[in-house]
Amino acid sequence: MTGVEVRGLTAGYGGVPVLENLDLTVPSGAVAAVLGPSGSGKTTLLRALAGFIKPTAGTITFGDRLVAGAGPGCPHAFIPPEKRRVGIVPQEGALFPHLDVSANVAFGLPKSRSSRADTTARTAEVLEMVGMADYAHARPHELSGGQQQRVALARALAPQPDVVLLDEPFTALDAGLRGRLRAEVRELLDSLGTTAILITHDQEEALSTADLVAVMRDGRIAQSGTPLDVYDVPADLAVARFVGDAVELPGVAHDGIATCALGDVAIRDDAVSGPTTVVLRPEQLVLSCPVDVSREMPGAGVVRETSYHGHDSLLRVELVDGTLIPVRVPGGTPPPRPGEDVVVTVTGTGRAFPA
Amino acid sequence: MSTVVTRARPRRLQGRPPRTLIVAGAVTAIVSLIPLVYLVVRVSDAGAQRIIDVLIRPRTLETVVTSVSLVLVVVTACLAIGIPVAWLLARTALPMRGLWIVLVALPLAMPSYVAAYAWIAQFPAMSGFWAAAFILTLVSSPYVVLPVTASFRGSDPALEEVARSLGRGPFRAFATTTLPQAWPAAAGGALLVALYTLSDFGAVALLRVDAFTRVIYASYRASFDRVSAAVLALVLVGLAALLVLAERRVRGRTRRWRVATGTQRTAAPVELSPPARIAAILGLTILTVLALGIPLLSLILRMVQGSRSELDLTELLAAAATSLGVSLAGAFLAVLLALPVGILAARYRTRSVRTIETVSYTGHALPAVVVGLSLVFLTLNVVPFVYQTVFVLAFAYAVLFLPKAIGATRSATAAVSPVLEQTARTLGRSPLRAWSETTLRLTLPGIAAGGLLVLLTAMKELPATLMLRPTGLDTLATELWSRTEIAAYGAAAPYAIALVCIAAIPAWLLGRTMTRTPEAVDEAEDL
Repeated sequence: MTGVEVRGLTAGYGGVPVLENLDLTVPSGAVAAVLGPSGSGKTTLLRALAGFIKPTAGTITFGDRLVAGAGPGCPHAFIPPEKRRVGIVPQEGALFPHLDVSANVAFGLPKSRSSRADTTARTAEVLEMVGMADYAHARPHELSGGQQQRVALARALAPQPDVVLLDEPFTALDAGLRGRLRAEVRELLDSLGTTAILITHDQEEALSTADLVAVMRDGRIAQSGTPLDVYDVPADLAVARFVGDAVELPGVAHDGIATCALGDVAIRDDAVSGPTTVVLRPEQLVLSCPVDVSREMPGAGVVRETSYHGHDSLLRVELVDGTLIPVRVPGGTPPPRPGEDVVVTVTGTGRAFPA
Repeated sequence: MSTVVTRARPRRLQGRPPRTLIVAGAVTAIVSLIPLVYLVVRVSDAGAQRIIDVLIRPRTLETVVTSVSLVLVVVTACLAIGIPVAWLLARTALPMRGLWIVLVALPLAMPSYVAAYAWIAQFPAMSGFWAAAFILTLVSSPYVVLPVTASFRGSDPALEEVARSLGRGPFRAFATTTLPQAWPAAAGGALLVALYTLSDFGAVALLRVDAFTRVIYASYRASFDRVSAAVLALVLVGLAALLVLAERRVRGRTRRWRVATGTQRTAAPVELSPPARIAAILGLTILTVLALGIPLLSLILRMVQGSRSELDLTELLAAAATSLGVSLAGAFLAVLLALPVGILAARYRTRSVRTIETVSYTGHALPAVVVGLSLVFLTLNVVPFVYQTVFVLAFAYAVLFLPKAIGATRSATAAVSPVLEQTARTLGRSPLRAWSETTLRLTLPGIAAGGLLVLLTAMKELPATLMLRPTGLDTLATELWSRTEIAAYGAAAPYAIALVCIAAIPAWLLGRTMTRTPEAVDEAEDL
């Protein structure tokens, strides 16, 4: 089995480093999501992993195979893409337009006369796996976007690569299909036990699909952990803002409690004291509409805006001190209207970062 | 079925191009510089005094005045004819619009010397400045009509509608919204016309106008005065280079100005009043008769009359075969040289790539007379054993028409996502095999089309062929030339007809792409 180990990676184009001293560990068989805004260096990382660019420093190891960088006994290893045993699923599939589906899938399989039967069998097998067995002789342009992605995945998996790299493979699909295909791909990768790295800018996709989420920023990994960790225990304010919606309130912390416009809030960070920024998730806020709201109550405020989404509504509540915060209320009952007095209370613990 | 959101895919690659590709591209760039550099060397050998003598001769000034006036007259006439015609074709409900578009593009299939020959054959008194201006206008007006038509068609009718709703009348709305958008297309077309006129040899030579190309050819033939031919050639190159630079700047601005996204409607055609309609059809008919009708009729009449003095069919076929053979060699060389440059230009945007591409387009600014002259000098002085061999002729064709082959390779390569090649790499292919199994496989038709274009253009080339051909080698163009020189108009007709047929193919392709989209014009301009 093959994990991926990236140590001190520095890489870029024409002498300008895009990645600087980047570390990333993906355990064997795991699906990792590299999550970052555009310009964070995700694509450069993928290209370095695939072998399209040569790192200027650091190492990349697949299992016990050093594929790039300096290692014991080899001063400067660089395995070209064709010998790296990586599969890639590019954006929009990038199927070879001049080949039919089965020829696309067989592209990376041996072509010699003696192996022809094996190649045919393997092609059929992977197409079956991705549910495209009926389309073996279709041309890429005859397929829908989702089907093209399935074939692209089959093509990447056919030669049994050590690592599969998925470059935003679902972004070009419409919302419903995206969710379904994501779940299917996840299931397939799990059952095969293939190590996979998914590049994405969609935090929902990263959280729902991966075992491990690595948040990228400015050419480095800002935080790497389970989806739960990254969402609940963001390493810094920027990660908190990027992964999910964040409610930020100024406050003062001492002994695991922060005092802010919503009253006293329990925080995870015992060590933080003094002025802080308290970060909560909108779903941690509970709204109530008591009959006698007094402006002195902690969390008292006025609804300023209501946007109705069906399954829930997103309100903007102006607190007594003038801060506007987003609050999500579940659907089912009519949401409060703008102008109504409300009280916001907090459930669970928040995070506090020194202000 | 799902909807696929289309996104612009990155076609270019970041980072440095592979060294082998750069080296191959640099070879192409150097090869295309050879004629120009050697000309400069020859001229500087003559010494400052001789150069100045030639430059300040009254004859030189006369030549400049003649050439520049010819360019100005032809460009003005082409714009005056081209813009209204383009508007008729793009925006009005003209009967048989598709047919008119074809008819308006077809004069491109008439090499200037064929058109001149056809008119002279019918009206032997024709000669001089205005006759040349007349014929060059007829032949080159499509360079304005086609891109402007495309621009009028492609411009967003919503702009004009907004202008109407803001209180402009229909004409002012058009003049203040659509017309300014077409200006870059018109200017680009006008500069192509200027370049065509400046470099043209056939029409000015047959009509006895002392423009640059004819004077250079004449001084070269009078072999005692080769320095003055070389100096004049350099002046001509300077003028052509100015035009090419101007054309590049204009082309940079030809991109469409549409800000909004989403599907664009096409404008509803304007209904002309019956008298306006008759006038429009009459105008187009006159233009077509002058540009196509009379020359073609003249060719056919001459052909029929000429058949009294018998047509030597074997000689015609031999000339055609020679044209084909030499041009094939030139086209093959051009495609080979173009390959690295086209790939680099499509995939990378580093400074060295830009330099290589720009330098390789030198042939675009070199009138064929200049290339011919320089290669005569070069072969005589440096490599006399290839002087007047088919190799030099093929080489001249390759340098002259290299831009066409590069343009075809570049646009074909740019249309294929580099991700395909990268994916093939991860599936176990070496760089070369990944390229040949994906990108090359997909771009081959485009590259071959570029080669075909070079072939067809080289087959009708006249001045460089006259200067460089081995003694006794006759192409269709030179046969037509030598028969016209001795006023054997009847005997020349079959050659002229053969040349028109050959030139019709690239003209048809050009007309098709030029009227489509402004983007396609970029590619077509090099034709």
